[in-house]
Amino acid sequence: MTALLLGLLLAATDPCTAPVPVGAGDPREADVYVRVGDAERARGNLGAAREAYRAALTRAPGSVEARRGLEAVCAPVVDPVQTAADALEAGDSEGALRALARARGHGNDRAVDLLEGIAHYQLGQDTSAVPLLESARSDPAMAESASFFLGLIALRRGDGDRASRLFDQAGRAVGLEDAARQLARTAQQEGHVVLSVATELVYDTNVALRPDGAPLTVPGPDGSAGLSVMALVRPWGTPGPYLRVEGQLSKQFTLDQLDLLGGAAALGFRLPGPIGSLTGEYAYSYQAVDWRGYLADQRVFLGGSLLTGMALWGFAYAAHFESYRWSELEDLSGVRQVLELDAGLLLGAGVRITGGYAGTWDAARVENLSYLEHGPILELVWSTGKWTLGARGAMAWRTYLAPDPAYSGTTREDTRYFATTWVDLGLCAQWSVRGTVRLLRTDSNIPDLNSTEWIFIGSLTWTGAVL
Amino acid sequence: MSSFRPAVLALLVAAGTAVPPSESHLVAGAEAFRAEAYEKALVEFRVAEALGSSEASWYAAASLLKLGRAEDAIEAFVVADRSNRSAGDALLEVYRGQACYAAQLFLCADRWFDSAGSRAGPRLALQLKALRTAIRDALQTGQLEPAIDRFLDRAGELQATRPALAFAFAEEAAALASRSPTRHRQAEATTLASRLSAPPQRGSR
Repeated sequence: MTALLLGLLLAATDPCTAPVPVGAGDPREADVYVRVGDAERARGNLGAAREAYRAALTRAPGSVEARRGLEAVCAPVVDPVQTAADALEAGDSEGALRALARARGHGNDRAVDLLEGIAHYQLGQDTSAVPLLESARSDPAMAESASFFLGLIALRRGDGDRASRLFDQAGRAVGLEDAARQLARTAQQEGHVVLSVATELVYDTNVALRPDGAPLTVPGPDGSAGLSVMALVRPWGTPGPYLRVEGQLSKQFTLDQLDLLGGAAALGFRLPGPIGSLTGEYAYSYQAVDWRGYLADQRVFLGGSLLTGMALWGFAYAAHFESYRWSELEDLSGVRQVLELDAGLLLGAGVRITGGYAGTWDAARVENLSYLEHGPILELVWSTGKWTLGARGAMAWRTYLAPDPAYSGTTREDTRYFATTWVDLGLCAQWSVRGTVRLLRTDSNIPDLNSTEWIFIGSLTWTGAVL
Repeated sequence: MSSFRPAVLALLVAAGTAVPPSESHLVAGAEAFRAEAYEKALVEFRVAEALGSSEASWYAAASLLKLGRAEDAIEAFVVADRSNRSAGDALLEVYRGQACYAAQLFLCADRWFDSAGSRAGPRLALQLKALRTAIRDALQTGQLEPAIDRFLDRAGELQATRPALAFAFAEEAAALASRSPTRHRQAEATTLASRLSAPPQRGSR
């Protein structure tokens, strides 16, 4: 009953369904009301147009023009802008562009520019997107959103400086602050020449991988201080080729024989697209331990990602051609290949969960040091504002290919566990601090090889585009 | 809304005195405006306008402002001003200033608040003074040039289809340019504003 009364009440107050009172006013004025109704309808003011047509019908109940006008303004309206916004939300950029094709000329052209610009951006058509987004940026109500997407385009082109400025502008809009802040940090890492310097303090409970229960005379815990420098040169921005040069120094506090000095150079090509990216790279690295040449590694890498809806699919393959320089380790030299396949879900609110599977085939010079390893990976990352929290867990089953004469002819089989958690705080666009805790545990069928290692790392990093 | 004229008109209409046909719609519009039925008010003022009332244009503009259509209101105020400047009063000038303020035409808003303030009572004058202070704070020199560019772009887009609104944008750009240390695009803005200031006469070439 209440619903019926409510329905009748709503019908009575709805100008489209409420009965038109007849007989009031001068019938000769009906035409004037119809003209006013037509004018208001043309300007998009449907409420006033309804009032005018109803007033005309009050004066001239038989007016066909007034009746038609009222029916027209009361017909359900399909708002092309809303349709386009819904299509964009659903990831249908082509559908959004189709809807927007008939949306102009109704006093909201800047909003149409913004949505069309976003649709073109999502389709990877940056050249079409830029003028539309620039046009939308001229409207103060849309300036921040347009700046945000112009920043993404600048980022995609490798113009980190411009991207950074645009994200700074976009950060003024409520709702875009967090994303803009994170992207401003990313933008600082985009540019033709990007430099990154990181310092870290490390405490490792088992730096030499001492087996469980080993005598205390064997080296165990130690701390270290590290410095790493990385320069990335992208002459033509992204997409395009890049050169990366890295240097690393790690000085142990007590176990000097494990001091590490390393360097690497890589040449690669990154091909980003609207829904994915592909990276290919060749790298050469050289490490010295105890100030003696230890390992030379030539690496070929291919990796990519594909975004479909809220799922991010990824793959990474690397072949390492390793050459150990110490005579006692020469048999470890060989080819080590690693393949990882994963799928991530972008759950919104900065949360990403990734599950995957990784496999390694290490073909060393001798079979008893060669192995096949495989196992699952799970990672959870939460980014909010300046903070990023992450946790990654993995386990791997490693089986060596031949009995090891050093362990009574037993073929070694290990189960390895990895767990890492980290918290990252972006102090500003260039500076960030990170705290990391890692656990590595090996359970072997040869008990002497069981080991546990905890690593605690605190690091401070500066990353910025210098050109 | 000027309360004096509609009240007198209402008495005349009620008394059956012969008044122009537009006046009853002016009264109906004023009543709807007071009842905050702004769509109905707009329609009645538009009908009054169509029946020959030039002052109805001012009230239609005020109704558009109340309906949240600031740019339409600015356009309607410019048209009303051109057809019957004397019909405006202090309150209508406040509405006009509010329309300019809503469209971020701050110098336009300041001008109308200033004009209204000189004729308003002490309470309204105090509010207008506070608004003008806020406008002064909003007008930072560093942001003048992008604003001038934006308003000139808008004026250029609208000059063929909505010349009265285009005039308001061009006039704002010209006023901002005169405050710009580099006189950014001042000549262009002034020329465009003067070209749009007078509507083309019928039959003129």
